[in-house]
Amino acid sequence: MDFTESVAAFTAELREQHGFGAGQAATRDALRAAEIVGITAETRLRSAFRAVYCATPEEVDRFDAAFDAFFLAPRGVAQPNLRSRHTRPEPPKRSREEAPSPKSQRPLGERSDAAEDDDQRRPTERRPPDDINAVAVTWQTLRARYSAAAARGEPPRIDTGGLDEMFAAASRLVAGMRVARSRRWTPRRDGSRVDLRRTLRASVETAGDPVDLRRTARALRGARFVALIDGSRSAAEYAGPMLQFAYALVQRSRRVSAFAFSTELREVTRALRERDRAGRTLPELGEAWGGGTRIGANLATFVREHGARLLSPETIVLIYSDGLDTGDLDRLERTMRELRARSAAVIWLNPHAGAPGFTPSAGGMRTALPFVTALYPARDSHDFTALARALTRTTARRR
Amino acid sequence: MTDAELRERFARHGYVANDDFATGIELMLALEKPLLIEGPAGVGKTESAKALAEVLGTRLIRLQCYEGLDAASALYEWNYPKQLLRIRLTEESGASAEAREAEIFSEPFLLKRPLLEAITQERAPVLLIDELDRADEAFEAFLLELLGEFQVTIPELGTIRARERPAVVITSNRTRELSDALRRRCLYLWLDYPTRDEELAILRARLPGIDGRLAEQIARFMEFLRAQPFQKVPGVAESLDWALALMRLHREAIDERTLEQTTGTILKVREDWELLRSQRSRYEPLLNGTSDVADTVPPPDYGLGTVRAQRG
Repeated sequence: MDFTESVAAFTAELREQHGFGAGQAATRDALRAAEIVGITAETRLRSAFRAVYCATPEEVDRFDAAFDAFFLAPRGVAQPNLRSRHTRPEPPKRSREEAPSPKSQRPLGERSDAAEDDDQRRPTERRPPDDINAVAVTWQTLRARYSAAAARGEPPRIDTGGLDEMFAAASRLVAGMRVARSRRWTPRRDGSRVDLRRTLRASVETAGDPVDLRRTARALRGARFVALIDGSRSAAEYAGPMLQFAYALVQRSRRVSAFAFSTELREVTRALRERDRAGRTLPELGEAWGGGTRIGANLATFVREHGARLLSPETIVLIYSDGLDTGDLDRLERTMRELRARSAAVIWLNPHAGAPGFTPSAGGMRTALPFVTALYPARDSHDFTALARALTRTTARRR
Repeated sequence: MTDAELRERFARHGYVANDDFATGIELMLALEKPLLIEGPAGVGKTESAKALAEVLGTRLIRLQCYEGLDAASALYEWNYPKQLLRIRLTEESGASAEAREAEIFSEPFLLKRPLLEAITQERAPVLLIDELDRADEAFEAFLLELLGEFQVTIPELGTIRARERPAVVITSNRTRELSDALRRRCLYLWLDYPTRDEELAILRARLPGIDGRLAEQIARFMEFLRAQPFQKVPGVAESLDWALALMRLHREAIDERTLEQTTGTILKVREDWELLRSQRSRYEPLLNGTSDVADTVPPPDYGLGTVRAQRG
């Protein structure tokens, strides 16, 4: 294999093993880049390839390990003359303030395709119990749920059942929430400003006399959404519909971000953005799924690391949690106050809220309640349809 | 230009370029692709484009993106009041309708906005599209089209094609995800906070008069600060401000009192001040002992609470 083929194979590996969006154009650019910087200096080639292949900070994080594994590990392929610095891939350095990318934190020993294999084999919860895989999964799920030692659970799956209703609800919410005026001008008959371009166009009919004044007004702007999904052992069990809804929201609008949290917080927006994610599991979430519940600490992490970028007076924060917090309640209170002050609304979705006789009595729930704009159930797609209807009705009335 | 030359030239203009940056710029110029720079606020993303323009000895054309930016304010607009006026003035001139129309839709009536400006230069400029994440998706799609062809069609004038392809630098603070299509079209560079050595080099390059020991101390302190979970982590601009403040105050070293007096140049959120104060035992080794200046200066209050104590 010559260098050209090597680079093509590297592109394929990045795409297939590491989830990069690189294609033929990237191979071509990489080859030209290699011509420019030369292939003898490893650091230069690495920088150049990084610039060509990566498109997001998450990809930058994963790139070094992939580069090392491909070009520096002995594999019996014609290699460019690179100094072999590592005998095996180094885990990528964690220097970003962003949520860590799921794959970069996988321990070295684990096979990287384990999660994908699970996707295909892992049956849905509703499979009949005579299926041997289902039994195994149930056992694993049980262990994840009840054993204190198992800190991390299986990554959750986006079910396809009832997804259509979720999409309808998400569309309605994205289209119907109008929380602020945009700075963009759009044509409107009772607008405040004269639109000279269109007025002049229209004056052609009247021999250049601007008889009919066209007007513009500030457009109404849609809300930005943040979904924070509690994946702790107690809440993860009912999180299916919320995940579906978050997936639908992310698919419907670019101004949506989604996070999962349990012991740690992790951003899942990019995983949910993949169109074919429905019916598959999310990538490994590590400590952010299936562990203990530290709502306050995780929300504080969110505010600190992503607040500046995502919170604004037009952000609607959706928190999915059963409110069973095992952490510091003072911290939860402080963080909820800040979240409320820096957003348009905080909607709390509690899987148990729809149950008869429900009272918000769980410690975390009681602490958070004063700062919550509205509390809704989140058990199935009907709940979310009702949520979308209620929220869009509220804003319609306010106008 | 090789990367060594590039770095040397950047250094001459007071910009410290690291490996990744120099390689990115080199490739961007060679492959004629836009360079997308992301990174935390205050690491010098915008500054890098300005430095690039100086290095290339060409003009910097900047398009600052904002919410609601549309093609008309980014590309071109006809000067309607001037057109209307001209129509009135030439009403009695007896010229044919076609001639009058051609006149009002000619270049003198065209208001060039940054993007059109950038593709009509004789010499390839540096086009900086700053904070693209603030503009909306519709504008991003429009920009994608323009970056692909570098030509603009104005119905009344015809198609204008770039004489020289501008070197395009796009920056984003990630308040919104940019589309994959745009990302794939660009070379990507993640600009992180500088390392201690880089910070030191930046301080020396931007403030040639700075005392070596003070610069070293600042760089070390910034390294400590950036590891703290502040709401607003101080960037390079802050460390330069701080260094300048210390120089103006004629301090040769940072001690507790000086730090208190100048915290406002590095930390801009009250909670961050409190956090810093609570970390005192951890940063104390980085400080010098109390200087003798301390006693002659009254305690600062910053409006945060010592006022009452002074009155009482």
